[in-house]
Amino acid sequence: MDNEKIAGLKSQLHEYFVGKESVAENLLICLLAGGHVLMEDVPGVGKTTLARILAGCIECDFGRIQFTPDTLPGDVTGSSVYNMKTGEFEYRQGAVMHQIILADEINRTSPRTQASLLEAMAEGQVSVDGKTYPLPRPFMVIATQNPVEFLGTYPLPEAQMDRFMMRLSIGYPEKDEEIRLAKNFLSGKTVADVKSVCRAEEIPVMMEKVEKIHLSDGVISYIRDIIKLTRDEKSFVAGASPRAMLALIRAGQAKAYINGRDFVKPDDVKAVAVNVLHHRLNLTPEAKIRKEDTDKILGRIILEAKIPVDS
Amino acid sequence: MTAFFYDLIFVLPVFVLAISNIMVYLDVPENTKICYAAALIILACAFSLKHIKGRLKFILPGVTFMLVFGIILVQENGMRMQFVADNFWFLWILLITLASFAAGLMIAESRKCRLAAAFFVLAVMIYLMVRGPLPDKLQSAVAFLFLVFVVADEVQRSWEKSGYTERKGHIVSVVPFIILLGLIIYLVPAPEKPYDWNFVKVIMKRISDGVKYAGRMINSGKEDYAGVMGFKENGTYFGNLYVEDETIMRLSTGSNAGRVIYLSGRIMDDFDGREWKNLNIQENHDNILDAIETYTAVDIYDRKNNFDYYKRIDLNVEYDEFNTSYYFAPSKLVRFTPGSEKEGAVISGSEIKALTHLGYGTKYELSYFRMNSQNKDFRLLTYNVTPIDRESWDRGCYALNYKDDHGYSYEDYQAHIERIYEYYLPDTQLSEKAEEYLEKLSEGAESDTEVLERLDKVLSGFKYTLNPGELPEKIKSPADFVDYILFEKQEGYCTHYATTFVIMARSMGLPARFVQGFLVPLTGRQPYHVRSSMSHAWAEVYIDGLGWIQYEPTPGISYDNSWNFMPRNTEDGEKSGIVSEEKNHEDEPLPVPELEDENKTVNWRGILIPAGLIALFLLGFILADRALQRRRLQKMKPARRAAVYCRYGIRLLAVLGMKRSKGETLEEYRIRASKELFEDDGYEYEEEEKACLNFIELYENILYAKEAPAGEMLDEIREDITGVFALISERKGRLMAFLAKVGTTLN
Repeated sequence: MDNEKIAGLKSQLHEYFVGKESVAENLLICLLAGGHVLMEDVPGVGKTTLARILAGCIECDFGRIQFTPDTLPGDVTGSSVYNMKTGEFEYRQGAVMHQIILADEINRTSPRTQASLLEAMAEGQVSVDGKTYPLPRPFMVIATQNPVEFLGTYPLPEAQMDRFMMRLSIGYPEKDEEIRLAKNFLSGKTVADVKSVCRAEEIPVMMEKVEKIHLSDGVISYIRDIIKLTRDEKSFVAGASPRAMLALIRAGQAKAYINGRDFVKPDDVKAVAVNVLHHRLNLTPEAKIRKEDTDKILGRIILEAKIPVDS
Repeated sequence: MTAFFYDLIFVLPVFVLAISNIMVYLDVPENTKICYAAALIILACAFSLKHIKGRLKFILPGVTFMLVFGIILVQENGMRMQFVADNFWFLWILLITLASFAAGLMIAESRKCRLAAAFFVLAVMIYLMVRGPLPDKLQSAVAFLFLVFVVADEVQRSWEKSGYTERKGHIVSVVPFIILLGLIIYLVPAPEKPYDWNFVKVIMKRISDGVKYAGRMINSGKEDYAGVMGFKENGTYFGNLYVEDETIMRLSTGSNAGRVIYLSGRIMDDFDGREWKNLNIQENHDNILDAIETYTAVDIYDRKNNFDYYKRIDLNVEYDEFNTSYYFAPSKLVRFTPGSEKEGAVISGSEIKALTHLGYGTKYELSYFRMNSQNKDFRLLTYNVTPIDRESWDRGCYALNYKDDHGYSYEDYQAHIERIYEYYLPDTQLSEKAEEYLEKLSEGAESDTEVLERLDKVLSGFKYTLNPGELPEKIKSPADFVDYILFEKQEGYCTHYATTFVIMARSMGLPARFVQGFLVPLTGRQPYHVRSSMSHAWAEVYIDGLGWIQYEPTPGISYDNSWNFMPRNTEDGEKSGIVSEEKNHEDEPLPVPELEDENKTVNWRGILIPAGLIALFLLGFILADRALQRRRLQKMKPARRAAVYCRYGIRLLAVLGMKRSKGETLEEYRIRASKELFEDDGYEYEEEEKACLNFIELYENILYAKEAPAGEMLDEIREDITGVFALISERKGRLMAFLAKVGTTLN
């Protein structure tokens, strides 16, 4: 039953979203693993579309925060407003009270506002005037940031980067894909036509199943090996944190779940490792001068880690 | 691998030092390469036992054992025990190698042992540097390397505190450079005294010179004598001895010098019962004249085979910590070249004295005749000495390149003999008891030399001691002394026995003299070190027409320095040899090939038996291994057994050229294998054939899933493996499939 739904989700995402298939799948993994996604891309490649399609497939409500330098924390979390009729302060929901949120251009707003969103992501609740309000479930933030412009931006600090499970980038579509996009556009196919595949309430059930996916000792030590190697790597300022390891485990479980297996294989870990780790690692100035690439180094590290097979 | 190299780093220096030092004392075959090879193989066996994992570690020791066993078995029936006895050195090598291996491991494992060994080596090196003998270059280099290893290890240990933990790996990676350093030390052309730290030496020399000078001031009088003998007398001539042990000379010589060299220093003629003195102090060429006389005597007696009687040896001498005015040289001197003109050389009464004082750095060269006087056949010569006529003498002079107008004429020779009888044969009377004893000894003897040989034997049966006590006051003449030694004391050291021998020889009417010098055993590597403890005294007897012959009456000292005579042809030597060979060729062509055949069969036996034993061992090993594997496999739980089969399958795929590369997961491997094996050649394969790779998927389940139904999978896996075998025999041929079956193991 789950398999059908997963396959349905995949096909819907594929039908309406034009771009790399792996991006859609990774988004799904993050959803099931209970993580958030950071999209780093040039404008106009379909970040919003992707988020909307996902929300449509799983019948979640969709919210969008367009960050600007003058966005305030209250706009995100909501604020207390004086009600003239009752004479009391009333809580008015902020933009964050949605199940799927697109936080557009997150690096354009002030660190304070960024922090308010990231706190909500971490805690699963917001506090306004001493009262806490739980966020809806499932709750997923798809933040975007623009890699081209640096002027007038507030880059996310490392500690906050760590809160995103994956950083994905869609990139420009291939030739066939782009033609398909044009045809869809001409035939008037829009995001509003997305068919729902499952209900929002089913997602937490799936997430629980993901948490129960089995990891053998060998695979755990494989994951730990990868993390250890990032710490030994000289081109990185610091290695991956334990939180990164937990994220990698969960992502691996979700990947195994999507593939319809009840145990994690090293292949699952391999498939998600780069996307889970690359935004958490910073290159040293020397490595930057040498024009090294984090993804390439990670690819090498993953090949170096000992696969748990004795032969 | 790291652990292996780490052990090797410490075991190897210990091994090299132990083997190279102890080999000198062992009775090893002349080709020492065999010994080193044996030692290395044993070391390799020990390492194999310690460092190879699993059952394979028994292979090398087993093969070695079989080889040794086979070599013993190959020997002829009667000779086997003899062969074992002859090669007893092997056991010693085994013992030393294993001991040095154990010691090396202890040093590698325990820090305390390592430090203790390092300090010991350091102490020995410093001691040898200061006191000598200097160790040879290889040994110094190895010892130095060992010290550097230990220092590096200690430094690494202190680094460990800073969190860098791969100590052993670091040492292993640093060692190539250290070894390079050692190699450079070993290979760089060193100055004459490579490890001679001059400033240390100079300081030590100053101090010891001061001590010696002070000692001389106290014991003034016999300054030179103490220097010559290396041991000092307590006041009187025949008192107790204490032995000093210092290197005083270094000798280097050709290969034929034999086992021992007697270096004469002082030659004495006059004995008053308590002390030897030298009266023959006029300058002459007695030493050379003696050599010419011997040469001429042999020339007359047996010209063709003169090399059976003596060999001419070249000798280089260098003085170390030595303070003397004497040159030490073997008797039968044919050539003598002092190192510098300033030092000069004066021969008087066969002694060679320098014009100045000699000491550290004095060098000189000489040639002498090494005599075969201990050989039984040589004795015949001493029985049949004929007087030398002028013609023969001139011929001898000419052959040895001595012109008669420089003091080597026949007249000089006659004067030489006169001098000998004058100085070395004073009127000597023994007591009656001693006379009787001598008479008894000479009963039935054919010649005087035979009596001397008997006397030599008798004295050699007495007791040797360095502490015979003071000579009693009552002894006042040579006769008293002989009685005292022969009938009363019957113990003493070389001086006692040489003196007794000389006196008794003189009483028989033979000129004889007392010689002091050094007895140098030629063992170990050149240059041979002459130590002051080698000082010695012996007797020489003059045989008219032959020259001075050396006797060694001291008990406990006997070196067989002789060599065998060449076999004599009864008649005309060379010619008859050629004739008999020709005969063989013409008349009896058959025996030659027969002999070769015999040799061949023996050789075959020698190769086949050890090889057969080794093959037998390997076969037994493989069979036992297989049987053990089967049993273990049956005891395993199903999941593990299935995993074993899967690993087996992957090894079989490697035979097809599909080796799992590093960092490749099983799934990636399976996809790649299926692509390369079934798709790339463009041929359509049936699904059944492709299915033989399914076991990899099952293996993933076994490895990563929570509970895999391994029992059910087992049959499927086996089926797949059969499929892989089919694939191998199809692609690589049946032979390969068979070899894969034999060569790969289930584990």
